Amino acid sequence: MRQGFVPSEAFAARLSAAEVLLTFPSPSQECDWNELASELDSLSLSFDNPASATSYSAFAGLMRILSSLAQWYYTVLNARPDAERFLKSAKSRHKLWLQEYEKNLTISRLLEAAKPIEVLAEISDVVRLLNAIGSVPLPIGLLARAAPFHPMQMKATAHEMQVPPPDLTVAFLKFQVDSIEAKNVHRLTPGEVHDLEIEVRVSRWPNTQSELELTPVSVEPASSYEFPTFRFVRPEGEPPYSLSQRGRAFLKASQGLNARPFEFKYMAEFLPAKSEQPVAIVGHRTLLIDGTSTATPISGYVEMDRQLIYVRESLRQLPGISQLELQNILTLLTTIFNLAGSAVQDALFPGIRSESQFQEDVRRVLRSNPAIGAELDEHANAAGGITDLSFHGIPIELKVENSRLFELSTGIRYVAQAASYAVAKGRKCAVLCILDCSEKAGAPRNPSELVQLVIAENGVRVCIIVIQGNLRKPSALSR
Amino acid sequence: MDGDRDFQRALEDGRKNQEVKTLLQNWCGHARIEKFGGVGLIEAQTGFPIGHHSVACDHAPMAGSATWLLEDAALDFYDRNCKACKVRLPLRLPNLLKLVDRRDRDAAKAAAELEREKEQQRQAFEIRQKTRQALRSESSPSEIALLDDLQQLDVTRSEIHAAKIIETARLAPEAFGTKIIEYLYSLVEADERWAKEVSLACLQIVSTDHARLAACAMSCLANYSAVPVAANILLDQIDEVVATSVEASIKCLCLFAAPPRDTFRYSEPERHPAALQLLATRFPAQAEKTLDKLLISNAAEEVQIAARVLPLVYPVRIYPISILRSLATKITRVDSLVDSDRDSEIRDVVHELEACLVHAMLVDHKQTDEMLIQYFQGASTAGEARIVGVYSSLLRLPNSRSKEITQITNYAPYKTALHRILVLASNTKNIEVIHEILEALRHVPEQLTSLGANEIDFLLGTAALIDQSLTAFTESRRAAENTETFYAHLERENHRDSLLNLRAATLKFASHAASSDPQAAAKFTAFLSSNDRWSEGFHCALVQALPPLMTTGALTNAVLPFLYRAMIGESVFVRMAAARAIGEMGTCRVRELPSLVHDAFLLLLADPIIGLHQSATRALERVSLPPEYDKRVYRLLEGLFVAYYQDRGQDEFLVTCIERLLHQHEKQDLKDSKLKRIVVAVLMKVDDGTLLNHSGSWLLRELVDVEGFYDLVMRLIRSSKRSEYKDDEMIFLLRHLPKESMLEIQAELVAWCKDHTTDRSIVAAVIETLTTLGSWNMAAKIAGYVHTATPETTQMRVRKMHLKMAFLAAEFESLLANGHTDEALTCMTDWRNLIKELNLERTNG
Repeated sequence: MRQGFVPSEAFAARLSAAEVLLTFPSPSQECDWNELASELDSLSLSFDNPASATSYSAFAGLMRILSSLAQWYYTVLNARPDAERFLKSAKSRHKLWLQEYEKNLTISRLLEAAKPIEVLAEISDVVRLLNAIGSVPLPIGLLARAAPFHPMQMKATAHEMQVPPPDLTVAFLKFQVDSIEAKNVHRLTPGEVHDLEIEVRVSRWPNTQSELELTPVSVEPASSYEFPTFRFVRPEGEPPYSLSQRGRAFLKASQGLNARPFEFKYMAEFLPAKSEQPVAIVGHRTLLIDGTSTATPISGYVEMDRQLIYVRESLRQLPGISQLELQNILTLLTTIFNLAGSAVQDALFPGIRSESQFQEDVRRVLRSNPAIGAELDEHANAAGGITDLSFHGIPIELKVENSRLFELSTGIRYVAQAASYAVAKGRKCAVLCILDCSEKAGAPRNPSELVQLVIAENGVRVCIIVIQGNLRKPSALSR
Repeated sequence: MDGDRDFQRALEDGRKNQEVKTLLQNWCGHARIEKFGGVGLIEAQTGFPIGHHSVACDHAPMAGSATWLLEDAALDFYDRNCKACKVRLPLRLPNLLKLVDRRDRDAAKAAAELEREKEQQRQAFEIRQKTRQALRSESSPSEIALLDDLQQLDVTRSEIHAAKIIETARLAPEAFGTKIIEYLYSLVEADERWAKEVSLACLQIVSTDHARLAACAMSCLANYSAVPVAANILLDQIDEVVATSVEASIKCLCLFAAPPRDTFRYSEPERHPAALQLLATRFPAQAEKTLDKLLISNAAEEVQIAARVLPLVYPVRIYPISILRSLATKITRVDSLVDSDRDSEIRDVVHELEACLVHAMLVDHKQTDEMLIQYFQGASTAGEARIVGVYSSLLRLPNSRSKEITQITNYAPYKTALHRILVLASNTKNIEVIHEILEALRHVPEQLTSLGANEIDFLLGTAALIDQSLTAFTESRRAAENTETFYAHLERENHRDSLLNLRAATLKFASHAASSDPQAAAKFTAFLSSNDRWSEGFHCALVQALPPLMTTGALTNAVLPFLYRAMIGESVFVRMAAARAIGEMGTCRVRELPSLVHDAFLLLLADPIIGLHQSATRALERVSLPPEYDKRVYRLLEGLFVAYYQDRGQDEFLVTCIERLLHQHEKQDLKDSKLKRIVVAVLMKVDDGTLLNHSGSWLLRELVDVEGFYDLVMRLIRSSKRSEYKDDEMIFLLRHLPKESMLEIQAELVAWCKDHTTDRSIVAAVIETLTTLGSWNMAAKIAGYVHTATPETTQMRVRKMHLKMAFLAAEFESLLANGHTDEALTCMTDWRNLIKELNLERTNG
């Protein structure tokens, strides 16, 4: 709500000033130019509109300069001594005036009209100059600048007048678990005690007596973990302070294969809570802890379980992969990894097999898992081709390799096919399962060495699992 | 105005105003009544002019003032304008002269009374002068000088002469002979008020007859004269005071001890309780009797006087039982035991009684509590609320502006009060009591958080019981919904809201208290973990009560699992509560939380359920997620914007959503201006009122440079929903519109200004802006419209001259801009003539 208007009578100063300039050198104009300039200054201060205020302020400044020029004019005409000092003064003040206003577009016409002052040499030019400046229209200011609501608002309080102290920052420099730098997702064995070492740098210490506390914050129930809270008392010496401490971390519960890792974020604060708090906390201070227990079998084969967890962590970093898709592929891989392990343990695939036979075998194994069962599709169409098997849209491409000296890297040539099916189904990952029926010269390899996660050209992650078939009997190897 | 007394009085005043209105309308056809302020409910219902009104007339040179009783405004206006009016348009009889005659008759009577009093005073003065003359003939020179001073004092009644006489008594007591002393006593005993203070002050120094001096002091106190001196004498001569004179002086001493606060001054007046305290110690029975008499009086003033001084008279011990009983009786039944036609006066009495009983609680909380609860049993609905008000005031006392307590030494009274209100909170059905309890729990001072921490179990238990009451009430509401009237329905809704607020306030206090003490915090978190089959509403209230508890990292960690579960739980209402709780936590705290919480918040924002994403969006008005979430938040908001733009009908949320979206757009420093153009196009379809409600915000200012925004500005200027409170915002937009935009709409603006010349601020801003852009001709045209549209009445003449000046100023610049310098100089001549005319008008007016 607008409170005030500029009194209309106040415009008398502007009109008189313009009249004086327009009628110069009329002898009837007997008025004090500097006084007019002061009135214009006061008027400019009362305007709420910044453009009007600037214009009037500039015009007031110009009036003072023109006053000197008028004096120069009359001094020369009346043959009084030392007339040039007025001209010099006007030119010098004009330079200062220009410095203040030359970048202001709202007074461009005034700047233009006053330009000849720089080159003024003859008194005959003064009349023309003053008349020209007098004929420049100025923007009007009608709304008055609102008075402050309360005088107290104008006074800075003692508190405000204090120089603010430099920023209080806590930087996390080091975060080590069992003397190893904390990884993006760090594995901790549940039920075992681990060392957690932390190092921070504090830019300064708050004035009031207080201690720094680094507290782990997590959405997990407190009953599932025990992570240390680090406390530091005010150190000796000059800031910045480097502080380090070691504590014990303990995961009380292990997590399921499909569960997200535990997240602990270390919060830094000075105690008591009402004392000054850090304005910035920087550095790595979030611990993502994977507490999946390898003691509880997943696929039934410890080494394969490690690979499974590795694949899970890699897939979790894949942007845009949904939790459901991740869950589905892990369900698939758990069963296929078991198959890969038991294929070696029980020599499940003796001799040479065709792809269709292999598909039947794999289908049977997968269907027997209650978590998959009827959801496993066979020969579903995708990208103009036919997938072997698919589970919730995740393609399972099956191949049988009979060539000699088969290596895992050889399977990469099938990756593009599996990746095409995945993209067509709107999935971000696929499974490529290869039965190696090549002639074996020696003992079977550790199945965990025959698992690889590769990135296809279209960005799809394809998990290649080589199942070893056509194994020789161990007794045959001794012959 | 909320009670029957105020309602009746307003009605009565309205009737009187209606009569005056008729008389005024009969008096002159030009006169009219103008209302100052809005129309109240009683005025709307009765049709009587209730509120402040003034009289106006186009021919009146002076404006009238607005008064509550229209008669005052009408008579004032008559004196200023109508007496010498030559254009009066009389209509019928009776008219305003009826009031004028009555006023003049009353004034003549008062003048005659004044004259009679003056005559009496003149005669009394002559008698006193003769007495002093007689004394002079028998006195020594020093006594004569003293008598001269007394004569001067009698003539001038100035403090200088009074001080001179007292100073003489102090420096030369021997100047006061027996006759002078006797004369001074006679002045006091004859109740000569002009000399009482001086005489008593002198007698205190020079008189040796202490018994008589004490009697004089007591008589002064009984007459309310020379009180400071008399009270001072009382302190010296307490042994000489006669018991029979005590009762008469108590009331005066009460007023001296604790003067009532001036309506127009904030500060507490100076207190002088010493004399009253001494008298009450020496004569306890008389003091008790008199104070009790004041308390049981029907006069509001007397009750207030007694209530104010009781804490001073009994600073460290409990009031006598009779007084305590009177206090309890009075506060319980104040509406029938005090005569007053103003509810505000009753409220003042209750306020004093409350303060008095709060003191009693502090001194002896057990006895006071017992007494109050006895009276609570039989109290009316309002009486119950007033008794609970005592407990409520006690709990708020440490934060009281006048009696701030920084360190509490004895928590027992506060504990009693807290217990009492918590017990009542869980079982009362009295809505007024609930409001009092709410008042206490919403404003519990910091100093009492430790008490709350000790009583954390009680607080949480009470909240659970309130929840049960709420559930029972909601069930009964459903049953009654079909049969109740509209007002009964409103009452029930109000009751339910109060219970909801009470539950929330109890839990918030518990949460706040728990943050101050680790043991209490542990109990609070244990309560959260118990999940004892709470109702959905209670779960929501608990979630929303969490932010005050999350003051430290350890406490945040303790309650975070609960909050997180709420965010991802099944209940929509609990998730909404969680979103609101996040909004209450503050950006710093929110950013410190693990990313799982931020992810869960994004799920709330992305949820298709209206309540959820709206709550989450509104939370974003108060907090920001860490910068790495900006893009995702932006995308989700974009989705909401599109959805709400297509599915109209929720403009309020759409604008909030746009605000957040633009904020994110700004944060990410996106150069793309397409969004802003789309937003402007969407805002063009949003309801004016909604947009104007948001126009004080950053939103419109942010869009000022966008192409086509000028149409929106023009629409808002034209809107009938725009009030003058939005002028500043409109002016800002006009000033900051790009030049091309302004030129685009200048013709529309001129046309609008022509039709809305009374919208002064906006019209002035348009003129200013047009001249800034170089459109002097347009500006002068608008100034001309404003001048022409103003009527040429007596009242408006001066304003019209000022508007003419503004027009000439604009015209002058316009002529200069067009190169017509000669015409501009002619304009200057017009200006000078106008100034002369204005000065002449001022001289004559």
